[in-house]
Amino acid sequence: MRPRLIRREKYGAFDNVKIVLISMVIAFAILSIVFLQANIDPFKGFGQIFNFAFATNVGLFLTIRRTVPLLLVTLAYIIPAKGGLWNIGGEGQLFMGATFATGVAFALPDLSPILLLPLMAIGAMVGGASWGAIVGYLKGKLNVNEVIASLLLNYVAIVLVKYLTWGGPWGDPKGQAESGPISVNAMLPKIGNTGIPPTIFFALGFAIIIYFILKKTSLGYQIELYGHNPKAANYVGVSFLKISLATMIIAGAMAGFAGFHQLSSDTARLRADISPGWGYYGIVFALFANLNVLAAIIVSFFLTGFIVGNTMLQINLGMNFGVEELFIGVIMLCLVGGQLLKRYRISFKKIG
Amino acid sequence: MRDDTKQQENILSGLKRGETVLELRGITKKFPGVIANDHIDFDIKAGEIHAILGENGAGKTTLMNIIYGLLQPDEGEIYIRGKKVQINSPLDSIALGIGMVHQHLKVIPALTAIENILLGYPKLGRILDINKAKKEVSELCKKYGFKVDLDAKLWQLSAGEQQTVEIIRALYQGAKLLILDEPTSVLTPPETVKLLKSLKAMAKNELAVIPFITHKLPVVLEISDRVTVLRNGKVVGRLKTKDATEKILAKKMVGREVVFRIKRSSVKIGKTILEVKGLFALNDRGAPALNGVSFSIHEGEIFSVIGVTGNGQQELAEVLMGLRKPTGGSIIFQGENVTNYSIKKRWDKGIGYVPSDRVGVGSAGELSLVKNIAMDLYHDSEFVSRGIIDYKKIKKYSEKLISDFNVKAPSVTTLASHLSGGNLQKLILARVISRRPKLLIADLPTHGLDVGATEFVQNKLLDLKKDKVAVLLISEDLDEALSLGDKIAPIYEGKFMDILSKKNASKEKVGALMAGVRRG
Repeated sequence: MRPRLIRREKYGAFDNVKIVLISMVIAFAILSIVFLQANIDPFKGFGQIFNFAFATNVGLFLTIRRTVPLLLVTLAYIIPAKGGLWNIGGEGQLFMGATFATGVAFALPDLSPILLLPLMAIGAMVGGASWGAIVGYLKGKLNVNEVIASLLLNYVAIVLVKYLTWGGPWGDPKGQAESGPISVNAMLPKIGNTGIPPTIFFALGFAIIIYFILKKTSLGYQIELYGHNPKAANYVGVSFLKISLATMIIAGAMAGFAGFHQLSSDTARLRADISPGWGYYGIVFALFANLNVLAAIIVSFFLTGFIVGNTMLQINLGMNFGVEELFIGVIMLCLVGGQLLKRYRISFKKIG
Repeated sequence: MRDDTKQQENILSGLKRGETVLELRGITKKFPGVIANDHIDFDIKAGEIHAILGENGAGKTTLMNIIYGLLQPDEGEIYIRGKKVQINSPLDSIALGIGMVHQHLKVIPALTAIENILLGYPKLGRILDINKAKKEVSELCKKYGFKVDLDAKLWQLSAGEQQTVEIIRALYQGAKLLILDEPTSVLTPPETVKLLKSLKAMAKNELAVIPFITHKLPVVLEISDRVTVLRNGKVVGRLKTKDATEKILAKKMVGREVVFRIKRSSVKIGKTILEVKGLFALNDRGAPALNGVSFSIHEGEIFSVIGVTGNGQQELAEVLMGLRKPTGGSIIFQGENVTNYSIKKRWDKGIGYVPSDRVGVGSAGELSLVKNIAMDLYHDSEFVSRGIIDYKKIKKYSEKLISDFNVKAPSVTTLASHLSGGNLQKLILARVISRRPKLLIADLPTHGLDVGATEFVQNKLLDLKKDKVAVLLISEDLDEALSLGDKIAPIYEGKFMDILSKKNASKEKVGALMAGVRRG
């Protein structure tokens, strides 16, 4: 009997967990094939990934450190999505955050870190927020599709970074394709010898604040109403411009802060590859978390660990470079495919 | 896809008169907090019209969706021609020979009638032979007495003709059992007569027909052979139509004697609340919808706008509420020119609006009743402080509203989409009225409601007179407009044909005016 899709009558929170788990099992089954063709025992392969990411000090600290930007870009997708808007622009907003932070760092290189770092963080959030605000304004005022606007602005942001750095005004005369280094004062301190900057607490704090905003505030209610039924929201006087601006600005600020973290804890220079596409990962993470902010914290940590652990495939198992992107891609595809099961279930029963 | 028979063969092909087509045994379906269908038994024979009658919330829609495969029963069995079946989806039901004609027609306006009929036709080969199909469909039309221009685009057809297209589609797909959801609700009286004629022709041709009907009792009496009455999810009556009268059916349906009781008290008309001068507006397609409307409404006055839907009533309501921009004219509310005010500002000033589209505009189906009631409270300092909503308080407030307005719901955390039409309307009305507006715009507030809910809503509107509220009532129902309204304004093509006081408005006069006939 040919399998058919049957529309679901009910869909609960538990179903989402089930769907995510099934998607993961399928993804891991496909990845096992990749391991097998490379003559690697899949259990050993996955063991290497998770062992490094969560069970070694080096790996775990790295996972936590990388969770910061990824959690932030995940939040940047979730907030507008709650109001029915698709922010594909996390990447560009992250770049604008890094750019503004770099600007602040270059302007005040000798300022004490206690003042400089907060200024950079604020600058980064303003940078990201302004990039988000453009999308929000275009959508709210002129009904320009936010997917296209935010996506295209990603390229604008990256080109702007290239202009500034590749021999441009901020370019490093000695280096290539990057800005000069920011001053030592502009670098984030690390907690003990873990290599983890205190931005992790900010990322977690932002997540909790956003959870609170969405759950308890009037703004959160208006966003939720808008996401569920725009016509009803309009009918009771919720301003569409306000919703699209507010959600995109908060989202942009989150992604912008991720840019600050990257610059000030990792690269120390503004570069066109300061984010290897993490803004897009945020979309997948958000879907994984079913747009639930608290789930996003756990999902970000787990998936970041998976990404971090993937480096072991090259180092210890001699697999090709790029294999981690393949892995992430397979997981994404399975997950997005699994979304279909939210509204339909598969039936093998005969007609009649 | 392989053979060339004109119509689909299915388990119901070659039915003989009197054969049992469908039998339901003990169908039960529960939703959180409600038993929508409680051990329902039902059967229908070939050549029979067996109506299912019930108020909103009686469980008709659930039952219909179970037969059509959109829902699965929790208990009970479905037999088609004596064979037990499981219907997993509409595809299954179509394959079994069950056809469905929806209340909100599922047609594509940009396609022609014949293209709409062929939509989803399972035997459509790779190459579309539209002329052959047209010939077959024409024969079908002749057989049942349908008249429709197969080459016309659907949007050019009237609601009745569009419905005909949907019926033909079901029959062409091989339906032998036809389910019709509120089939006469969108039709004009002459179209209703035509429809009933074709339904009878279908029964004559050994088809089985199940019309689901909420409130048009005369239709039930005229066409059906048998009628099953549902109330609160249970079968409360099953009788031969020849033994039934309107009164018997209404009593079974509502559970008590129904006499329309409208408590009309005389209230002195006070000062002017709303004054509208020469209002013009366009509809969604950019064509003129309002062509210079002027009127005023006073404290304690109900102003009835009566007309066939599509003559500018909805646009009038939307312009007054700020959902649509006027192209000319002005709106004076309590002496203040509000023509350019935002929607929110109008709510704040004391204008309330009950939209005609309860599901699409008036509520958010996937949110709880509490959150639906919060729709008008999210900015109120009594429930929100420093931007934080006091949901506990809103919950308490919701519980009170729900009991005051007699909304039947298991709890305030139920999703709005689980409410029946009548209860949803009560909820919206409760939300808007409880905000104590000075002007209430009620667009088709009783449309599609059952007898009990209609009575409730109408009495609530009359109660507002005592609170000195000005009410703009938009209605399609002549009796409602005349019995509630202090002034009656028949609207036709975006203009008031006249504004009559209650004592000058006879049914005949208003009926002619709303049809655009002005008598010297």
